[in-house]
Amino acid sequence: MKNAKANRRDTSAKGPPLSERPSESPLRRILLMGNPNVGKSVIFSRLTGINVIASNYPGTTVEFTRGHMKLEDEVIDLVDVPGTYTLDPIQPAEEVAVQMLEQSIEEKDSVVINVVDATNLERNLNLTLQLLKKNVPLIVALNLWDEAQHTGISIDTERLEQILGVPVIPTVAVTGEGMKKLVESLPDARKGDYSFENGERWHEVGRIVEQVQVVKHRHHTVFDRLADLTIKPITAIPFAIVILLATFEAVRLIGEGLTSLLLDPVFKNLYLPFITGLVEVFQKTGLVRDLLLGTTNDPLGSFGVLSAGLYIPFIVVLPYLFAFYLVLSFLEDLGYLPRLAVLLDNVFHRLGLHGYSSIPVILGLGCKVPAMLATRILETRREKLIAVALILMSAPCMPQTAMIVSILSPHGVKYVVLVFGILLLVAVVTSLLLNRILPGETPELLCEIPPYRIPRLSILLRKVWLRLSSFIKEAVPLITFGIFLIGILDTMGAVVSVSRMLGAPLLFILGLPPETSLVVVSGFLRKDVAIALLFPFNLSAHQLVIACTFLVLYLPCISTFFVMTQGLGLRDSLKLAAILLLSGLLVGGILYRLL
Amino acid sequence: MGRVAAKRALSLLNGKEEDQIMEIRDLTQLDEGESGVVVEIHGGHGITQRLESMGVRAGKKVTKVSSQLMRGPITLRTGGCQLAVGFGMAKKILVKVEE
Repeated sequence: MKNAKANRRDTSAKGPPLSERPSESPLRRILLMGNPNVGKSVIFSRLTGINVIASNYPGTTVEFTRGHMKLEDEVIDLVDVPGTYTLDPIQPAEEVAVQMLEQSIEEKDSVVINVVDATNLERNLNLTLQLLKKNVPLIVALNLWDEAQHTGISIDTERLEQILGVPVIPTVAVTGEGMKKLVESLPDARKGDYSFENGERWHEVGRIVEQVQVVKHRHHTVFDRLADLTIKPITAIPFAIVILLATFEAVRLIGEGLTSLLLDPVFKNLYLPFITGLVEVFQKTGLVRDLLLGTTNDPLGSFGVLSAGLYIPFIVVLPYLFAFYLVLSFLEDLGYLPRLAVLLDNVFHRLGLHGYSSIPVILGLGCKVPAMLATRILETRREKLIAVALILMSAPCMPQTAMIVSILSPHGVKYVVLVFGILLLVAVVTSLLLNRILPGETPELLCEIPPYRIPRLSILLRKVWLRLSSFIKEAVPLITFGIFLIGILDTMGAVVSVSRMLGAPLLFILGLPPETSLVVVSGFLRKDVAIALLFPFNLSAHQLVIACTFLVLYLPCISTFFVMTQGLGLRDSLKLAAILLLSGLLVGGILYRLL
Repeated sequence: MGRVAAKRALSLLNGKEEDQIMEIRDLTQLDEGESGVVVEIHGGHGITQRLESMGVRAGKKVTKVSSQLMRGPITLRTGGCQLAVGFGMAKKILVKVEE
């Protein structure tokens, strides 16, 4: 934090702003507080210019965000506090929020902007009154003002300002309306003068609302009825299936399109020759050259840091990731995801998970990497572990699925169904077991279902960019480093000898020819390629079922593994990987004896 | 005289309207679209607090929107918003249905 200049700003007392009284510390920090889903993050990004995720489904804003803004040539900290319904700490997000608030109160250098949802005044004012009780300088930003107008709600902001004793500014964060006035009002932030008994708080809220709000009765519109259709099971379940299928198609198209039309050609025709030439200027042959460029022409054939090390994260994973985040952010901003969570909640509860873990699991059907990143929204460690197990086991990622279908369908569709059926069974059994073994319980679902809103392109793109950039900054270095490590092992001949060692056990346990061991080892890099590599072996249908099941289960791909360690830590990730491997061997072994 | 008939007779004698008989049910027992006023939340401090902070408390009108298959969450509308409440929790929300 920057040191304040001599020109102190008094933000605590009622009275003329910008007074010369040096009583309190200067304004150094602004906290944005409010219920979840009210648009805090959008206001944050408008004030700071730093792009922030503003998501709709619960739990994502538990990681708070910091930024800076300039206010009359002072640089001020801006903090987007996790959304809370109350200051009585019931859930982790609320505990964090309270701690942050208490800290600021102690340091006497902060102002709180209380972002209030104008369409939900009563519930939001509960927090406002609690904040007033805390005696902290406050401004109320009455957001979603346009939506309130649309739904026939009119609020007398001047009256509200009078009653509460703090500035009340109507805003429409997504368009920017009111933002200028909000910033201009910052010096006016006051502690307010509304006094009340804590036990009577709801009563007081009701009293205030009566005085300032007028609601024109709105009949159920066509849109309301349509919205209800997406949550009543009879219509909602088919609708959800359609949405999911459409999602997959969209992601597949965008992902594949990006890869084949743009990224792959650029990498292979422009980048690779360039970097090869560059490196070979210094080292035409030898260890360093091989470590950097790999030993084959195809970037995936070996472990070069500059070839495979970059090809995998950027060409294999990134396009799908981009496509996923695009579609996911769209569904999020639209407001569909909480409804989906509700639909799937009871199914997931039996597995020990929450409804919102359905989202990572569904993501995992496309690519495990964003699925891993999405498990961050889950509250407890226990849930994260079960969700990760479920994600990794329940189904292959899309490229793998495509490969499995193409290698097995010539033998008969029933084999394809068999593989997926077995995987699902294994996943469910494992989750049920984990649910029993791991201590703790999954809390019941209680969440808000926001109204459907038309997503705004600029905010959507900002979200996607933010998610992608965090992947690039965090996950890519790990993946590239991992490949570098394997490259070193490879040059020491370790990879080939490991493959040879695996040959005999593979034959014994799974009934697969020893030569397939190299496939098994390289599957760690890219699992769909591993399955493709099975083609020349001319395995029987049964052997293929065993091989495919095993290859899906035995280990996560390298990118997934590193992202996993980020979320769960190395120890637990290794434990899970071990469980996966064992289950792969177990299931494969059983299948071998059965089929 | 049957009990119901006796009750009726009494209320007629007292001049009260018959349809002041109100029913108290829990949220899972409401039909879709039915509304009621929350009477009590039959749970511990934690659940009551959680629900209260979301706007579900005694005296508030709630409308049931939907229920899910196999004891899934209940969706309801209250104040200006929609909430999803787990089945177990919904069973603890007692509502007075106006006839």
